[in-house]
Amino acid sequence: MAIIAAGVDVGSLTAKAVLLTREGRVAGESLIDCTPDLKVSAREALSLALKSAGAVEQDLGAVVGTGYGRGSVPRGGRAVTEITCHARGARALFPAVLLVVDVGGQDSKAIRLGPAGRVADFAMNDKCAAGTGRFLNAMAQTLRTGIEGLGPAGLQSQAALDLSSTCTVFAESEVLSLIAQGATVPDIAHAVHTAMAKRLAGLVRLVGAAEPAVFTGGGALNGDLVGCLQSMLGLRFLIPERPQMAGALGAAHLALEDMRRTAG
Amino acid sequence: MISASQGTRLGPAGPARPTVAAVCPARTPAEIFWAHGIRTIELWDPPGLEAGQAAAHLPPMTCGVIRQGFDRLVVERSPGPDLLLFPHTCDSLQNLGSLMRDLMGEPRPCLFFCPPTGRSDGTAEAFFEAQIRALDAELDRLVGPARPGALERALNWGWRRARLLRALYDRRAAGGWEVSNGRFYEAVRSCERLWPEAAMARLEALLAEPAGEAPGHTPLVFSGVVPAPADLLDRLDALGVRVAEDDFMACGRRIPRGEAQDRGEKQIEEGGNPYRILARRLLAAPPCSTVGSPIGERLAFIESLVARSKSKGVVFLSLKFCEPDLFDVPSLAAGLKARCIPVMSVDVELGPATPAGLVTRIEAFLESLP
Amino acid sequence: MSLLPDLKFRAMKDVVLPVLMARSGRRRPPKADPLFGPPLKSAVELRRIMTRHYALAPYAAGARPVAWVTSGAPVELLRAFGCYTVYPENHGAVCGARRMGPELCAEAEAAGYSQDLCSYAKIDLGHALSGKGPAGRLPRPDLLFCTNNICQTVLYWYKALAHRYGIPLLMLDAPYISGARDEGAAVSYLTDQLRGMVPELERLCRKAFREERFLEVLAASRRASGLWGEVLATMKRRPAPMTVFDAFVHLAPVVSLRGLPVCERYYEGLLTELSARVEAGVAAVPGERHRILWDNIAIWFALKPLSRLFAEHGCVGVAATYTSAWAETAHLLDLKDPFGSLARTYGLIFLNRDLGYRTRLMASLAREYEADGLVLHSARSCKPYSIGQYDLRRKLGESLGLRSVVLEADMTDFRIYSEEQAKTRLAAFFETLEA
Repeated sequence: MAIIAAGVDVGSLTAKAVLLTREGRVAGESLIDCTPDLKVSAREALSLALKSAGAVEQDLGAVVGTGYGRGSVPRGGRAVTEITCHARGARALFPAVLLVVDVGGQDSKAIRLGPAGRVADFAMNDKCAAGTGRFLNAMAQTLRTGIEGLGPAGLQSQAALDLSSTCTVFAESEVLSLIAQGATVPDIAHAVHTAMAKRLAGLVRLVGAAEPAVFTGGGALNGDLVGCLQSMLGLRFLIPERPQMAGALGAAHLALEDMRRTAG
Repeated sequence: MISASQGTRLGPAGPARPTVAAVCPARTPAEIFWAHGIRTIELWDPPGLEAGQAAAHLPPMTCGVIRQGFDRLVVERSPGPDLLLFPHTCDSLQNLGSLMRDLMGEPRPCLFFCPPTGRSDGTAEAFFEAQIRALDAELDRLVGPARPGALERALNWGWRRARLLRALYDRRAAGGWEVSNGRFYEAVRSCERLWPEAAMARLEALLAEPAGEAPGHTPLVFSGVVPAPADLLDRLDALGVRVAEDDFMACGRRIPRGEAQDRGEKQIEEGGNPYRILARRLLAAPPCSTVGSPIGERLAFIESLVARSKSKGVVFLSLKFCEPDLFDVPSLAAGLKARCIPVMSVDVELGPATPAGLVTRIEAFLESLP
Repeated sequence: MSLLPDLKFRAMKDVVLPVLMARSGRRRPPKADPLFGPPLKSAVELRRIMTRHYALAPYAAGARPVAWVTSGAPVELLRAFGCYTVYPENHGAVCGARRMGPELCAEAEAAGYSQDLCSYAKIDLGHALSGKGPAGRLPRPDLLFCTNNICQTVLYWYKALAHRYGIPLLMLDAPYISGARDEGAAVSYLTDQLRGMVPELERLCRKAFREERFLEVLAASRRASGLWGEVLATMKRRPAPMTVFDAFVHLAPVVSLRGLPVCERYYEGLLTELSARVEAGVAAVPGERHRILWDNIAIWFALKPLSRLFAEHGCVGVAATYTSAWAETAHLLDLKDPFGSLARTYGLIFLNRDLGYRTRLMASLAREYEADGLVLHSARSCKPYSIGQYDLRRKLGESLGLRSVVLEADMTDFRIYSEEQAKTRLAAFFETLEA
C-alpha cells in the first residue's frame, strides 16, 4: 500500500478518521462512538479506517489529530484545532468556500476564511447547550421524534411558532406548554430549529456572512435547521455528503501537506 | 468622595501596629496610604473560596472581581485588612462598598473614593485633587497624621516604582529577553500587595535578568482586566506565546510608557503641591474604560503597543460581566481589524484553571496568524 | 441650521402633525376589563403626545441640533439652546413594550456586544446599526449629553455612540454620594462642569446662551416635576385611582419632554382626571386589598400580564422608586441659583447615593403609601439598581415587617424571562399577603 496521510478527529462523543492517498483521494474512513479513554478511541478510529482502506499502520506517513482529544492522537501526530481543520476540510470539498458553519454534538462554530483559505475569524459557542447538538437531542426527546426524525418533522410545519428562551431548560418548558396548548410536533420542531438558527446566525454575523458557505457537523443533516439558517441569512449552504467527517478530512489534508513538506 | 464608617480610630500605623488596607480596583493614590504607614493590598483576583457567600448577597450578573473580592472581605476576617477602600470604578464596586457598609454592618472603616470619570480637564483635576486631600484627611483621622516628609517620600517611591515598571515593559516589548510570562507578571503584580520598597527590589531583580529569547515565541498584545484564569500565563508559555505588551486594567493600563511620558513627567513634577502631582499622575495614566477614556484614545494606545512590541496580534480577554470593558471591545476589535491587525476576542472568568475551550481558541488564533 | 429642513420641521410640528393627531384621537376605546376600573382617559392624549414626539423626530435632523440624552441628565440646559432631544432609554422602553427587545439586542450582539450587557444600551446600539425599531429611525444625533448619576453604563454606551457617529459627547460627571459629607464637593464639581458646558453648547448649537430662556425652562421643569409628584401622590389614597403600571406608562413625558409646555399641560390634565376619581372614589382596581411598593425599572414587555396578576389577587402597586425618581429632587430647582440648584437636583438623586439612603427612602415610601408588600424586580441589565436588593429586602423586612418577593427579569430582554416562573412566584407571594 502506498504511503497515506491520516486525520483523526477525537470529539467527546464520537471519533472520526479519514485516510488520504498521496494524490489526495480518500482511501478510507471511520466513525465510532467515543469511550472515556480518548487515546483508545483515537486508536480504534484509526485502525478501523486503515482496515476500510485495506492498509496497515506501517503505511501511515503523517497523522494530524484534531478535536477535543487532539492531544491523544497515536503515532505522535501533530495537534491542530478543529477550527483550522474544519476550514481546511470544507475547502477540500468546496474550493472557494469563505464561510463554514459547524454544528457538532457539544459545540457550534462559525468560521470565516480569507480568499486564500486561511482562517480569518471564528466564533464559537461551547459553553451553552442551546445552539449545539445537545439542544436538538433534548428537543428530539421531548417531542419524541428521535434525532433523525426532528428535521423531517420540522419540514412539515404549517405554522410559525415562537420559542423565545435562549436557555435549554427554559426552552424545554416552553415546548411542554406548547404541546399542552395543542401545537403540532412539526410546528414545534420548526420553532426549535428557528430558535437555534437565530443563535447560529448570531455567530455568523460576528465573523461576517459570505458565500460560498458550507454547513458541517451532525447539524447539517437536519434539513429544516439548514433551511431556517439559509432564510435567516439570505445565504445558500453547501452540504457535504458526510458532514461529520469535515474535521477529520481537513486534518488529513494537513497531514498530507506535512508529508509533502518533509519529502522536500 | 470619602466617607468612613463609624469605625473607631485605629491608632498610628507603624511596625508595632501594622495596618493594611484592602483596596478594590482600579486606580487609587496608594502613596497617600504609604505616607501613613499603611500597606495597600489590591483585591483583583484572590483565589475563590469554596464556602463563599456571594450568592446570598450578590445577583448573578456580577463579575468575578466583585464576587471573589466580596468573599475575601466578608468570609476571611482574621488576619484581614484593617481598612477597606472602595474606589468608584464601576456600578458593581459602588454598590459592593455600600452593601457592606450600609446593609451588612461592616465594622471596619470603609473609605469611598471617587476619581473623575469621562473627563480629565482642569475642573476634573481640581475635583480629583480635592478627593485625594480628603482621603488624606480621612486617614489622618483614622491613624493619625503622616509624619513630616512622609508624603514626599511616598511620592518618590511611587515615582521610582513606576519607572522600574516602565523599564520592565520597555525591555519586554523590545524582545530578546527570556523571562516567562508567569515570572514577568509575578513580579509586576507583586506591586499589588508589597510595601513599595520590597516591590521595587523584586522589579530590580527581574530587570537584572540576562537577555536571551526562548525560540519560536509569538509576541502578542493582551488586553483585559487581569490575566485570567490563574494558570493562563503558564499555558501561554507552553503554547509559545510571549505576552509582549499588555493593556490589562491591573497592569499595563496603569503604566505610562513611551516618549510622551518623558515630557509628561516633567510637566507633572512642575505641578507643585503633592496632591496635585498625584492627581495629574493618575490622570496621565494610559486610557482605561473605567475612567471613561474615549474609544479613539484606547485604540491609539493599543495600536502603539502592537507597534512598539512588534506583536502579531491582539487578544482581548473579556471578563464576564465587566461592563466597562465589554462596551469598548467591539469598537476596539473593529478598529484594529480595519488596520489589518489580527484580533481575537474571548470571554474569560476568574478561576484556577484555563478551560479547554479557551486553549483551543488561542491555538486556533495562532494557527490563523500569517 | 439650513432653511429647508427648518421649514419642513416647522410645518410638521405646527401643521401636519396636529392635524394627524386630531384625527387619530377618534380611536376605538379599549375593551372594558372587569378586573380594573375605567381606563384613564388621559392615556389617549399621552399616546398622541409621544407618537407626535417620535413622528417629529426625524424632521429635526438638520433643523435643530439633535441631542441624544440620558434620562437623568439636566436637559434644561439643552432646552435653553433649542436642541431637539431624543431619549434612547425611553425609546428602549417603547421597544421593550412592543416586544422588540431581543431582536434589537441581537443586532448589537451580532456586532460583538456581549449578551450580558444592559439591554437598553444594546437596543440603542442595535437600532443605530440596523435602523429597526417600532418608531422609525431616530434622527442621527449631532451631540450626546450624558450624566452618570443613574449608572456608569450610560457613559460606556454613549462613548460607543460618540465613536460610531464621530460626534461630541458632553459628559456631566456626577460623583457618587456615599454619605452626606460628599454632597458639598460633588455639587461644587457639578456646578463647575455645568457652567463650563455653556460655551461649548454655544459653539455646537451656534447660538448664544440666553439666561431668560434658561430660567423659563427651569421654571417649567420644576412645575412639571412637581405636578408629576402630585400625580404619584394620588396613589396614597384608598382606593388608589391609578396603579404603578399606569405610572410607568405616564412617566414618559416627564422623562423625555420635561421643560416643554406640552409636558406641564399633560400632567395638569392627568392630575385633574385623577383628582376627580379620588373625589368620586373610583378605584383603579375595584377589589383593592393589598398595596405594593415596586422597586427597580418596569418589566416593559410584561406590564399587562403582571398588572392583571396583581389585580386578580386584589393587589395594587401604589408606589415605585423608579417613578418617584423624577419627582424626588425637583423641589431643589431654584431660579435664584440656576446652575447650583441644577447640580443639586441631578446630583443628589437616590440612584447616585448609598444603599442606606435608598433603604430609608423605600421605608418612607412604604409608610406614606401604606404598602404591605414589596416586589423587587431584579433587572439583569441594571447593576446599580439590582446589586444589594437581597439585603435591602431583608432590612425592610426587619424594620417594617414588609413582606417581599424578588422577580428575576429584565426591562426589555424576555429571552431570559420565564413568565411561568414569575407568575408562580408572584401568585405565591400574594397568597402570603392574604394569609
